[in-house]
Amino acid sequence: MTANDAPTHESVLQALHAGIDMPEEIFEEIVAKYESLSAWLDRDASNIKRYQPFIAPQGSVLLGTANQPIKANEEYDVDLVCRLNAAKNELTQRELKASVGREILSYAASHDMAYTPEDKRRCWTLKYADDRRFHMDVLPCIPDADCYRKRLVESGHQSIAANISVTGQAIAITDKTDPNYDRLTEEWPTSNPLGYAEWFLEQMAERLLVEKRNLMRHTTIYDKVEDIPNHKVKTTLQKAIQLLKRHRDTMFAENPEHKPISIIINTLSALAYDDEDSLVGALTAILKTMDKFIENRAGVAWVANPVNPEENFADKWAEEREKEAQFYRWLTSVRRDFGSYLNGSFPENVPAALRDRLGKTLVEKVVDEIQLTEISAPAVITSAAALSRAETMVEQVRESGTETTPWCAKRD
Amino acid sequence: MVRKKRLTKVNTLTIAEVERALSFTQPGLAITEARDVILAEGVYIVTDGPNGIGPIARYEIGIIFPKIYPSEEPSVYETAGTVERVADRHMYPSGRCCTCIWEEWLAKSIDTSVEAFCDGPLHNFFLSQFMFDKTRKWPFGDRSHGVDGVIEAIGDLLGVGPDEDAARRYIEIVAAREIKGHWACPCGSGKRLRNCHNDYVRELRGRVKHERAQKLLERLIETKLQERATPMESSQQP
Repeated sequence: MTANDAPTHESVLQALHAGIDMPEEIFEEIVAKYESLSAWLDRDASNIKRYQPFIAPQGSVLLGTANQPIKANEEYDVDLVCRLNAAKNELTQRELKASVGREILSYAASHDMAYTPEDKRRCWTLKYADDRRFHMDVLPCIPDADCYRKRLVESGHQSIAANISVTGQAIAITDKTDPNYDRLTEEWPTSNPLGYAEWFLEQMAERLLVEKRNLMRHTTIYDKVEDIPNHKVKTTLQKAIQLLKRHRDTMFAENPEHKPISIIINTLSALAYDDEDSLVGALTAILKTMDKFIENRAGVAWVANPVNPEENFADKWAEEREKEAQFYRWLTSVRRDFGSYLNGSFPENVPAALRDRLGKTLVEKVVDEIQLTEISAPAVITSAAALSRAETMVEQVRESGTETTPWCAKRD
Repeated sequence: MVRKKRLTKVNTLTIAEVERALSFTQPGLAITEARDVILAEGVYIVTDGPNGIGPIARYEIGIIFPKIYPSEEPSVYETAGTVERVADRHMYPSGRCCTCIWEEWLAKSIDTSVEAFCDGPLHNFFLSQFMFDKTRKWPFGDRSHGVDGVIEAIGDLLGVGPDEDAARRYIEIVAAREIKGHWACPCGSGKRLRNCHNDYVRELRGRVKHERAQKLLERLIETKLQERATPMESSQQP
């Protein structure tokens, strides 16, 4: 094996990411499914056609952070918003939920869907036939940009309020447990998943452009960089988040109740990310600093929604201390597991703890594919190669100006 | 001990800070809390990974971080006896490691966080031990033992020769809360400061905080006192 094709931590991590990423054909199938639903809601006979229904993905499918399910029989969880151009004084939350539901139910009936859509707390769930491997949570909502902006200004967040691409997509949603569910009122639960996605994109905008330019060099499909859809490329931030989520999902497979929620991992990771060009660099930056971005607001741990800082993604921590404890338990574990590999092992030697967290079968497959055999690192490497690597490290210390000199005070 | 005097800002070190500094970069160290200290124990890895290839050497160590860090220095121990416990290896018989003159590091560093300590003196110490094993040379040099080393440190920090009197005069003037132009110049010329090294002294005071210079001065005094009390065996001299 020459130095050029020797595996690196980077190449192994990239291969592991490829092994957990949602495949392109699944993405295309999801798009086809929600476009079909969208067309149904907008057909002439639809009772909500006059509201120009609009369906768009939100969550991990939109952010490009969706992983394959861990087990073969598990489904992809696809989150969609279904926005109607209606005003709060036109209908109640219940009426909005019901009118969207009526069309979803008729869609399911006319498309011979095996399962009847379910009316959940905030969304409608469409379950496809068993071989489809995904279900869709459709969130009925109406535009709420003006109220959202007003509240941001009132709470002192003028600069976010002025960011139209973030605030313009704010929505009012329905919630069966909301006291105003049946009332015609201006007081609706609000959300802004598309505005959040806009913020997320901004955090990796430079890297996204770099990836798109790279893709342009390898394809003739697109005339210009701007034509490339975001989902065709993936940044080191997205890949790092996917690896972290996979680690979390296996760690909490038996105890999912308290697993750290994705929005917290996404937000802290995006804040810690500094446009690193390698997956190793992105993971290092994120794992070393992500918890620095958890604020302490008068004793309350606060993971601020970047597009609405008065919203605390970690609000459940105050109610259930176990959730906060489990987050830190996970953070320590994920730091150690990736640290044991990146800082304590040779590239071809994925330590057992990380192998278990990312999936033993996958890791073994990746290791096999790169035609490697696992070797254990000797406790002390005395070869000239180790010395020359140490000399390089000495040079790096000198260049950074952080040399320090040992001393002895003569007695302890 | 003189060291018990605090810097103006007293931190309370949290386990989260130590976890942040060490859990990822040194996953072999277990971090625990015990009253006024935070402990890190286990295997320390000298590595050029993840952007290099991987581990170069491993040492079994324990670190005791006082919660009043960095007012008080962390104690680092090599616990397996891999490194010979002699002064010339910058080791005490107890296994305690002399990573650096703490007050010198504080005086010359802008970032004195636990992370900076781990990436700086701690990392450099074990990298140096590995290099010394292979080459019998200290890659970043090493300080003479005892008071001579402190004088060297002050000399390097303040740009004066390794002369005890000069080092003492310079560190005292940098440690002063304020200085007056009619004071004697620390260069020993006999002139007043305002007519001699006034600009240089002010530049030094801009670079090294007076509280930190004071700590280094205290270290000089303390080391001298210790040396006077227990003269070192000549065989242990470097």
